[in-house]
Amino acid sequence: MGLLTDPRTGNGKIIKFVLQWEKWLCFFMYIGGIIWTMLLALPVFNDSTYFSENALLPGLVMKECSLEASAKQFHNELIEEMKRYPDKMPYPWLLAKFNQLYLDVYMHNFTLNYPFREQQFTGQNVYGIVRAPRGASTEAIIVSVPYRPISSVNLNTAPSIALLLAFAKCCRKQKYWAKDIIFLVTEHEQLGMQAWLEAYHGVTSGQDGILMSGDLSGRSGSIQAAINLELHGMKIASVDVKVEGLNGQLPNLDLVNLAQDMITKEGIRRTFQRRPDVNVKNKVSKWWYQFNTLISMIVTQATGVPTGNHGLFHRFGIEAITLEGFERSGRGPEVSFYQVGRVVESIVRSLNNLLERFHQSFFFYLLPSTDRYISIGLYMPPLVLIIGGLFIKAFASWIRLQDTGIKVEENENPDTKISQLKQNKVEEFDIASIASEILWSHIIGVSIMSSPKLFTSIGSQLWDLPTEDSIYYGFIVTTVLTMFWPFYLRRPRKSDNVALVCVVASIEVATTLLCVAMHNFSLALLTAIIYVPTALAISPKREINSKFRGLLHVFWILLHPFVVASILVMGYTRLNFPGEPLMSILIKGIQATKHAFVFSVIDSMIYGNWFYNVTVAILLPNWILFWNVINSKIAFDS
Amino acid sequence: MRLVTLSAILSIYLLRANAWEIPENFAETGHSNNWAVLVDTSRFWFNYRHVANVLSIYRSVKRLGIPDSQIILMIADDMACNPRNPRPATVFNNIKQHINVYGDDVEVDYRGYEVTVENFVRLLTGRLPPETPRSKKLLTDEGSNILIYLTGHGGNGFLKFQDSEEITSQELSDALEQMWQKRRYHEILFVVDTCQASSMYEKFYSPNILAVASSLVGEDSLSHHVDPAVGVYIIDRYTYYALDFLEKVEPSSSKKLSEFLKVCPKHYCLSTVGVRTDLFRRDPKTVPVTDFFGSLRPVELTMNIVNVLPAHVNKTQPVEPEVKYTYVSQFPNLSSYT
Repeated sequence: MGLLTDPRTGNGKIIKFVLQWEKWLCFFMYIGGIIWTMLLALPVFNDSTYFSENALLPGLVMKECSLEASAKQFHNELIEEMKRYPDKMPYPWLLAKFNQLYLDVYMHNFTLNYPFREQQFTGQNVYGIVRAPRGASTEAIIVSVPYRPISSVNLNTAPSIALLLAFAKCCRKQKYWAKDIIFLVTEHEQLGMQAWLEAYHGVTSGQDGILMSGDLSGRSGSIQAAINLELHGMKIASVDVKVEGLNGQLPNLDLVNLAQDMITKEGIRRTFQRRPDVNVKNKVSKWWYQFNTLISMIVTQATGVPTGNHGLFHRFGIEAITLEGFERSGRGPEVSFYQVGRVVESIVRSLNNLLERFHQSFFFYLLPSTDRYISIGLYMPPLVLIIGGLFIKAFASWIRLQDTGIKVEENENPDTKISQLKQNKVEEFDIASIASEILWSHIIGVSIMSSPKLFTSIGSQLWDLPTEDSIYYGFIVTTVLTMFWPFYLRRPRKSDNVALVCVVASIEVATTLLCVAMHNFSLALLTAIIYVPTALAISPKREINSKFRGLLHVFWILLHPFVVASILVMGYTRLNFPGEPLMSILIKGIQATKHAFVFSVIDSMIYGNWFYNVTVAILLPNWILFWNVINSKIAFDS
Repeated sequence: MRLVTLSAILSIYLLRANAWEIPENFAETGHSNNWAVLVDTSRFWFNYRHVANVLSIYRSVKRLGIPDSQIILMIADDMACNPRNPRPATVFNNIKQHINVYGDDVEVDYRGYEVTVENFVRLLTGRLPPETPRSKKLLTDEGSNILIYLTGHGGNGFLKFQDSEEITSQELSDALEQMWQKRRYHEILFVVDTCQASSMYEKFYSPNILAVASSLVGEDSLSHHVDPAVGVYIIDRYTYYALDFLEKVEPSSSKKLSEFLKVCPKHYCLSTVGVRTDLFRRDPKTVPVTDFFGSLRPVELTMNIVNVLPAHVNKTQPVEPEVKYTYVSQFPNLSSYT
């Protein structure tokens, strides 16, 4: 079998084609990939959702619970209790209520050692278990609610706790449960949920010694699925199904369909990304609407931050979604807890019918509306087109590095000459310096990744700065230092060596993006769209196009990961506060950027979110490599 | 001896009262006993309807006279005791829940994981290990009419057993041929209610088999209705209409097989019922349904007059002494202690 790089085999044509059309090929692949991605929102490129799992039997059962009255009563009591504990969870009341329903009730304590300071936070979760009366307690379903005290900035969830209690009351009386049902009320938003899940499974997801999840005094079997409730009022106008989890993981599509189906069945308006389905005749405006929904999902998923407590379950192989119910704003119909209760009941009844974990339907998908999906087989090709340009560029420049030898061979002749030339060629690469450059840039990446603790201790000891400031300034310093790297080594290098660095960096970026795409497609897509065109334009310095190189410098500085992050957060702030003057947006934006940095570092430490790690340990070193390529001085030998 | 007496009484009754006409083909059926093999091959709660199907047929054939000893009932899962069942220990075949088909007198011969392709083929061909109890054996002979009813999930050319294996139509027809060669049957009525059911009988090559399938190749057999109280599809269409027909059949009725073959027209079943008659030597129009769904009673006819002597009855009755009941005194008598 001939190698692709061996010009004597029949593949010479392809190589010639690639060499000749490299620029155009990369350009059209990039543009084609982007257009294809945009077209994914067209009905031709996606499919209607359907149920793959037979066991679910969605909506066949008669709903027996009528939760409105009892939920109202629980809600009134809870409101009174919440006033007594304005910034704490009313444990005694919750425990008493669970106990009155004859559930197995337990408390769970957890502690957070704040990584940047000598400080501890504690919290408690309350949970009650309805044991399966005729089952073996080897499997469980979770219904959970994050408790939010009155002082919380987030929307209130007291009605969902009322619904949870009312549903528990109804479940307790039924005899058809094949799985235990765990009713869980967590504190401190995602922290409590993460701690509870870690304690349930006996693992630590983030760094050791930060989130001390303790132990559970009572447990059930393996958790099959979870429904997280965030209902903001006793009357609901629409229910939003939230799916995006930690690191962009998604729940099985069957569970999402089940929820959407049951919501529609009860006549409640269903939304995805807070956008209801529209029924427009005009195909273009329909596409535009669905495309925006799709983009909204991609942006949300790309951050890798869960949109609700459901997102933390996915790591443990548990399918989970959040049902967020919104009160009416303006006109429109609204429904009571009678209907919402029926939605929850029928979802849990269907989950009860499950015989094995969700495994039939898609785990990788994108949703352009509530009832259509784009499977992984459909959305991967455009991304591969976009990223593929980098491989083609790397391949073409690798061939060019060899090519000089081939041309010589054509003019002169025999075989001995070629091998000599090729050997010469290999000797010309300064492997040691290239390897050390690549190694050093990665070492820098890893050390920056683990530097935030150092930054904060320096910042707080020397200048008494708060955490976010010390981290922010630390990152600014490292950014500036990385930008100046090429200027410490002003030693001129051979053009071929620089080109090889460029080849290696292109391949590494492309490979990383494809690997990331397997976990979090959206992150890979957005990163590829931002980085690929500029990375394609980078090549070792030639004497001519100096104007263009100046532009390249500016662009590549703008693409420094920290700069990109700052710009994005700034843009997001601008979107959120549209009317404000520029200065105040700038100040707010910087403040938000500081927080964003701290949060991404902390997320990586507590939850094991790898967004920060991948950005700093892989993307940044490659940025440095490309930056070196742009700035390297070329020694032109005769 | 007693049998003879009974038959004699019957014959006298027939001769004198003349109420029953002796059917023309009374002695021409050619078979001497009836058996039924009823198989549900699928497990899991969402396949409740298959268990309901097979139990309903079981109930019908039992009502029409085949005794439990001659019914082999194979049920792959225990729906009645499934923890998801809101009506524990029952299986219903209708939303009205009139009849609990999993009543007191159901004898399941092969249950749960015993329902395998191997056991099914061994049962048919009689190649069971010698220690197998009689209730698990198909003890048929060359005079046996067998009703084979299969339900479950099928595809083109196979029927799925449990969740792990399947029997192909070729294997099934080979098993039936082996039965024929071993003289294990006289005639077979083969009924199958699955998707693409007719593919199961296409390969048959043994004589005396009448095959009915709920759907043709390429068609799905559909369920009839949901019982929201149980939360599952409760019976399949073909079986529902077959039962509708069978409920009106009495052990003595003269309904013919040709009527049974037409129980589920396309606008009821939504699938086309497939029938294969080329292996069957008789005309279904002349064959009573009870030849397969009912049981032949061991009756002998005689034209001679038999003297029935009155049996000696002991007329003396034991005399029981009359007991006079009184109330026990309300309070204990403490007078002796004072």
